[in-house]
Amino acid sequence: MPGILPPAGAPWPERRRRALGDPTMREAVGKSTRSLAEKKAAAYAAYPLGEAMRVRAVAARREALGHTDALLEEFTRQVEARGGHVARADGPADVGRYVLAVARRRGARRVVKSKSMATEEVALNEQLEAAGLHVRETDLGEYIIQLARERPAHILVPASHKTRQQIRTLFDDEAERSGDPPPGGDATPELTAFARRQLREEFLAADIGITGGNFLVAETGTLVLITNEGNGRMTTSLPPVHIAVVGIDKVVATWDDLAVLLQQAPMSGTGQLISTYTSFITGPRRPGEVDGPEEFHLVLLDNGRHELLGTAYEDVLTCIRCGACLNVCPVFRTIGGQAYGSMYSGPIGVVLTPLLGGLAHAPELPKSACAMCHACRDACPMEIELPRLILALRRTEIEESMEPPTVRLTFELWGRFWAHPAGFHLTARLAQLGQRAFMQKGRLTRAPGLVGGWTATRDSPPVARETFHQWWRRTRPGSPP
Amino acid sequence: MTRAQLFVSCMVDLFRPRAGIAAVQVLERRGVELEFPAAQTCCGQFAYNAGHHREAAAMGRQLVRAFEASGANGSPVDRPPVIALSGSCAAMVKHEMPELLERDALRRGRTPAAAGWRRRAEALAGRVVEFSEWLDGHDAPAPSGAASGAPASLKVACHTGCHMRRLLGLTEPPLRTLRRAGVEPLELVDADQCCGFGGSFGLIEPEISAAMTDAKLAHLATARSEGATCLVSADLGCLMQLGGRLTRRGDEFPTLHLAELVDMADQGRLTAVEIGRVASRQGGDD
Amino acid sequence: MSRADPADRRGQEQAGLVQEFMDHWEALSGDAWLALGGVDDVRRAVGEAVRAMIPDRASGTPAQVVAWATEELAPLGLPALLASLGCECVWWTDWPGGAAGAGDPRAASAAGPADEPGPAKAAVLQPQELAAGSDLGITTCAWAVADTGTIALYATPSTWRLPSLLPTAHLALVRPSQIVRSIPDGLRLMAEHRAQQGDLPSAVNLVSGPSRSADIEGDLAVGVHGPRRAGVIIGEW
Repeated sequence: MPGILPPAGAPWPERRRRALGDPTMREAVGKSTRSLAEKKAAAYAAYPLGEAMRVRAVAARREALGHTDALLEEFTRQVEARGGHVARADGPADVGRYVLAVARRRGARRVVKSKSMATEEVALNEQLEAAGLHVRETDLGEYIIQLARERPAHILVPASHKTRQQIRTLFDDEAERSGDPPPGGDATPELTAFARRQLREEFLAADIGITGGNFLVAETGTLVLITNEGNGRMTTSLPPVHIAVVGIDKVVATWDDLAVLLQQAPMSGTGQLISTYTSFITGPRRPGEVDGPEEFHLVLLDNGRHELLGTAYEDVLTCIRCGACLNVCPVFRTIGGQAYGSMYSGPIGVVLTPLLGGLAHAPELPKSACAMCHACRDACPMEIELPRLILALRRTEIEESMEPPTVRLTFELWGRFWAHPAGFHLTARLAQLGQRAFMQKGRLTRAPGLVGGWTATRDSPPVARETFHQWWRRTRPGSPP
Repeated sequence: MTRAQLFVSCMVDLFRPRAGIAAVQVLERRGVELEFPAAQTCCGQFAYNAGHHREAAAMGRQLVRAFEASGANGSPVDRPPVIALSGSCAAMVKHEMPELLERDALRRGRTPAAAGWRRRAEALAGRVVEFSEWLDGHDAPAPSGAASGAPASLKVACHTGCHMRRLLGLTEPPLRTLRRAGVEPLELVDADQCCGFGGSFGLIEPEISAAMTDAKLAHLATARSEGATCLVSADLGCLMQLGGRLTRRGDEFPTLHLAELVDMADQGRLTAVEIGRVASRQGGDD
Repeated sequence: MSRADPADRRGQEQAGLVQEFMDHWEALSGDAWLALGGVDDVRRAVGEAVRAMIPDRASGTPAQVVAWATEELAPLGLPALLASLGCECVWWTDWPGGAAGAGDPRAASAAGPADEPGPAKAAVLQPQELAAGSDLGITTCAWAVADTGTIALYATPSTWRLPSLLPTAHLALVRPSQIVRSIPDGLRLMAEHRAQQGDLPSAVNLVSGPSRSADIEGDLAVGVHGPRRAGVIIGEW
């Protein structure tokens, strides 16, 4: 059965309206996506080994899908052999229950978090805050979003829609609230220093550190974390307890597999050959060590993933969350990430959101958030056939009668008429006769029904006085019919 | 004389037949014995990308039948090439049609016929060639001097649609065709970004579609400031999207199908004035 | 006769790897010093690095430097060297050779193996506080990667995590022979380590330059959480 995702917030027309009416956000998103797409291209052009590894990484990821259950069992054995704990979570409530049980046992009050899509998926922060825990996001972009009480605009650069003036205001307000010195300016070093100071205190006082995970290596029960800021290392080195929440789709079999996969996310996401910090965490601290967590917990999240295995959609589980598809998508560049109403936005979000949360959770995404331009397919380092999957979702929506009856009827009639020359030419004649009512200055400016969607924002030439068929028949008498 | 069949696309047929007429002149001038299978209607791509695969398959079957029937000796061996005036329609036939027709036959319970439909669609797919690709394979490369009456410095903005670009891999043939016609093609900045047409998406999301087009038109403005006299494309869908948004914004900048421009170049009539005249004619009046 | 000696060729390859490693490390805003002339050369380079990487302190307080107390670093005599530079060198666990240098936090308590973490004891700092209060952390590394400008740090009782994370600056000492070409090459070394030791370390951190983020208007911000400055000395000692 599908998983459970947080509600989208406002309905789609409202989200779309807000997005299109926000020139600041649109300019910021346009700039950041272009920059990241260029950096990706430059990285692969400059590093041929990266491309050679990518091809093998695709094979390794797809191979792992066929053995997910066995790999998860091996992973669990390896973690537990080293004194760590592994738990399975079917859905959001299971994750919350597990984390709160650990917190209760430890008497924990303060939590620091390193960025994790999986924890956003299960709304873990809300669950913990409802139970009275203090939860602080420590990724700079996520920290900004948390202070702003907003959702991320982009999977990799969540605050990319915010200007530095807006960020300074958020920090000034936070400084006032906490009684600490404010940034003093909006230059990057000043804003950075403020965040560093505030978050350093949080790290040192935290009882529990919660992270996501980029990959799991079954061979040794290792969690792989890819970060740039250092908050991932802080979260997994300072608090006495580390809990990682990771989707079951992240498991790979061996270190050979991880070796070819590791650099694909930084290269495809930001054009870096490797991220600033890559951490391999294999269980809690060992006897004799003076730092590192005493307790290591890994929560394996299903939330609708398992049931995709073995289906036509299975390849979405090879996604490495690089964001390359977002950066080339013309729709994403136009509306930004928040309009999708999901922590997974852009082309991968169009597919993953309805697959994890059910089609009824986000029926508008496959139809309204994709122009079928195929840019995402070219950009995806894991070669996920996103357009094909989006098309399959569109087809499913129609088969499950999720389309407005007028639209369905229009297509049915159209199909019936245009499958035969007689019907085709009849509709052309009817248009030629009836379209005057919808024309101004020789163009169609108002059309009825579905076609009215076109004329809402564009003119159309009218159906020609003489179609090509009619011209050919008139000027080439005696041609074969 | 080479034989070929013409696949005009429903959009050219209904909305811009003069592009089809121009293509006929261009091809016949190059010694093609051109046949127009009149039973063709539509490739079904619009319905296909909207997820309406029954309707798309019905149209697809009609297209396959139309191009199989041939006035001359219709033996499979000498089936002539099918020259397509739309890149995205060519992509539909070449990439999606075979699997679609097979799957739809299975859906209709016509299991024995399913493999046959796939074969027939593959046969058509193998014959389809997009217009500029055909010219590219046929015409001599551009000579060093101007080939036509057009001044070598006449500039045109060129847009290649997403399906032609990504599914057919044809970004160079339109540019080479334009150079052979004696003009200098200017690709837009962010050339590979979608114009916003997007099939059914463009109908149900007119505002997002128009916003995407406006971004494209901003780059067209840059090309115009560099001297572009018109916008040319091998895809009428993109042309109607860009041109329709231009006129809605009160801008009469000329837009032409590639076939129209090549026809004018062939006749030595390729000037900025002529371009404006040809582009502004309404409907099918000739 | 005309072919280069294999040892020369290897030497040239290694020199190439050193150069590429430094190029990438510096491109990532890291600092790099070369000190291939032996122990004294490396001590000289440590002095340069300390002066470059530790900002001027307010009058009176010496800078605090936390170092790994390992056999590998012992020949450099860091406590005395740092004292001569006006810094206080601190460490956790017994220093090899048993010499307690200036600022030894363990001098105030009975000697013995590292304490288990627990409530802070008066006058004896916990490892976390030691590292958090330091201006510079000095470590060695397990291996380094030329293609990406990366150093690998294994977490063990003596080569603990925090000196490369909490101080404002981090300095790693790398031998040229530790530099391999690619990340997969480094992971192969890690697999060998695992085969020899019986397991992977509890944590392996690959570090490629100082902490960075592009979350503020896409502008590069350095030193968000981790060290603001990351330096390497490539040396033979």
